[in-house]
Amino acid sequence: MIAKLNVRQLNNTQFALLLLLPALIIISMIIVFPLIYSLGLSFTNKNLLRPSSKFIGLKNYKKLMHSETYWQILNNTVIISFFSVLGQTIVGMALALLLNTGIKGMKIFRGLALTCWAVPALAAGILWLLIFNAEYGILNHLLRVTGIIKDFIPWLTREIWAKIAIIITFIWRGTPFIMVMFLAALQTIPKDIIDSSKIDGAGPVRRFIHVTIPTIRHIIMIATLLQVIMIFQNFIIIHSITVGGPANGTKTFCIYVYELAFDAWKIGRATALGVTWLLMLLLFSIFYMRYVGGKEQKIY
Amino acid sequence: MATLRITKRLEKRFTFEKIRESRWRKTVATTLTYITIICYLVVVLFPVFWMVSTGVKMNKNVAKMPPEFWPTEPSFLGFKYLFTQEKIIWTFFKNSFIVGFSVVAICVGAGSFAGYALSRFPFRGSRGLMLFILASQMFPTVVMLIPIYLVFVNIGLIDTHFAVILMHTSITMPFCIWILKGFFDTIPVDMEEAAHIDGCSRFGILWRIVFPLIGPGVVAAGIYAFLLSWNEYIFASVLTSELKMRTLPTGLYITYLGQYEHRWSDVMVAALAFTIPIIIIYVFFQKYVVGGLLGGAIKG
Repeated sequence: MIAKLNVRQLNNTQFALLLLLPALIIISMIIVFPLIYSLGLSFTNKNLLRPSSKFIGLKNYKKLMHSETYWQILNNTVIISFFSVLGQTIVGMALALLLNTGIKGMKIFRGLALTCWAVPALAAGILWLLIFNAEYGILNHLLRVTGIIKDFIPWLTREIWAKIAIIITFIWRGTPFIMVMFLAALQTIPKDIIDSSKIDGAGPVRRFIHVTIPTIRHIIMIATLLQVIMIFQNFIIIHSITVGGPANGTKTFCIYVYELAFDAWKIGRATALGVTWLLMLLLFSIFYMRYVGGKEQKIY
Repeated sequence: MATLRITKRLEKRFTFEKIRESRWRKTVATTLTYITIICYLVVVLFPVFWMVSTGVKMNKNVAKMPPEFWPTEPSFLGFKYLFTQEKIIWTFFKNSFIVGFSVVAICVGAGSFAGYALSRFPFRGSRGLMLFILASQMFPTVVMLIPIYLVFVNIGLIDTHFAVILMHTSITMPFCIWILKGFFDTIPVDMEEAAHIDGCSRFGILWRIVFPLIGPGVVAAGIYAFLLSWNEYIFASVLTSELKMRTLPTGLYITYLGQYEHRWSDVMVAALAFTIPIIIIYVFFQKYVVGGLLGGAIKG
């Protein structure tokens, strides 16, 4: 006889676990299992073009460290994410501060600005592909008409310009998101602190550096970290604009893993790359949270 | 007496001037703020306008130099052509909607239970679980795709809606739980406690008291899940190979992005078709979208 599960007899913890069960099952199937399996795969030389694979230990990792492409990709990823997030943070913070001065129509501005974040990634990629076009793109045209440049910029055909193009696209897309978060954070700062600092004679710049920023430090840290993570994960925007080119100039980890795994079918190498990427991101996050977020982490 | 009057008059004049001066300064500051914000909006919304403008042009006019800001020969034929001739886009729409709604149903369903459990029954591992949920945002999705792909190929789940739905759920579930938990935290426990004292079973409390209240939270999490699924490219692209099973982004990419040089207008029309449902959702549910974003990130 199967004893009937009497829910009333479960204590609170067990009840909670019961409720969590569906979510946990899904998460463990689709996040935990692939992670472990990937780790295992990274120690083999699995290649879908070959019938069998064998365990080769850390050879994939060694090959990666020694290949020039790996360091170039690392370089690309770091540069692109750093400058994108920097741009987003500066512009986003400036806008949030402006919007926080209590002007009318703040909600309308916020809503309009978020529209460009709502545009789907592929549509945005196609759009900017057209805008950055060297011959008939609107960007080059505007720059020339306003006299900023004389010859057209080869946006997508030169490595350095391609990087800048991707950074511009990320800044365009991500700034509204950060602005909204900063605005919400600014609105949680209690007025007393600002007022008392005014009474103490602090000018606006001083107030910003010594009062505003420390109070919302935690949010700044989380928002920027989220943005870095999202850029690391971003595939479709870079893939549709430059496909990682030219000359691997805009290839980030994400794109390279995809190429290794689904173009070259080098599963072993691809997973090894993925593991190094994850480790790097974890380490960076831990240090970043400690250093920028301040000692009292309210992470949960 | 006279001196007092004069002093008083002088005082009045100076304070009045001070008020006038600061009022003047305030007006200048406000105007500058408005100007800056409007400039930003123009810069940020211009690409969206460009997308619409290009979609309305005829194919041959897109590459005209200097580019026309507003088409001299507007043509809405592109839209008609897309929806009546190239019927494939209806399939893409259908697939995206099927996948999207299923993902929403699963995420909100399992996520509500999980969010409730994490909110009401903090047990020893719950903090760790929350951290894990945050960390799972960091996991390189491309890398997780690799073992999933291998398994699905062997089981024969490639080219099924189920595979795509499953993977989309895996990337949206953690954040949905986060949003829902944050939302549950804001619902006071008193009613549940009262019901408990009155002898209501725990499931009964869930069903009768809590669930009717979680409308806004469910909408926020559901919209987030739908947006993510609609946008998602890489899982859908790898897990489906037949054109008739592809979702909108992957299908559009294959059908259009190869041949864009001569058909920019058609490409933009397709991109617009892809974008407009999202914009509609965004316009109507803006409050929830922003709330979902903030609730998840600010609280944690």
